Amino acid sequence: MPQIQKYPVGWRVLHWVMALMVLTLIPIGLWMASACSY
Amino acid sequence: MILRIVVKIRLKGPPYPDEMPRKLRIAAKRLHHLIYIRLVVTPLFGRAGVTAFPALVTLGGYLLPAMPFVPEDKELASRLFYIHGWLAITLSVLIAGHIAAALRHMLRKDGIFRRMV
Repeated sequence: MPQIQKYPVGWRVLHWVMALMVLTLIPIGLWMASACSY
Repeated sequence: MILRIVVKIRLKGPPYPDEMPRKLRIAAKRLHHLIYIRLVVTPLFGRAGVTAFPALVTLGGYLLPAMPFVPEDKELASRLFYIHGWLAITLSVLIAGHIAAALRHMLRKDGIFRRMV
């Protein structure tokens, strides 16, 4: 296993928070697009 | 998202490993830049769309503040939603690519995936 230099903690936390938000928003957006006639 | 960009600029990330091919580094950087651009631009088009429609009341009954300089115009809203939709689709494709690349690094155990966990 190579020597691992990790991202700063703040960066990692925000990355996973953003990931959770975006992955939640994708199905919500698809549902909204399918529910509205626009 | 603003906080995310501030953190990215202020806190420098670790460099890519030396053994990582140059083409792969460039591809990763380009993919990340495209994701960042879409993460900023896509919600702006959505917000402009709901302002123009107008459809500012959310599920919980909260009233979203209207986006300045966007007139109420259903035709304009239609165009903004169309662009928002395509941006969202391309963002989803880019994220799928990002996740696939992350899984590839995780399975190869080259240390790239572990930098973010």
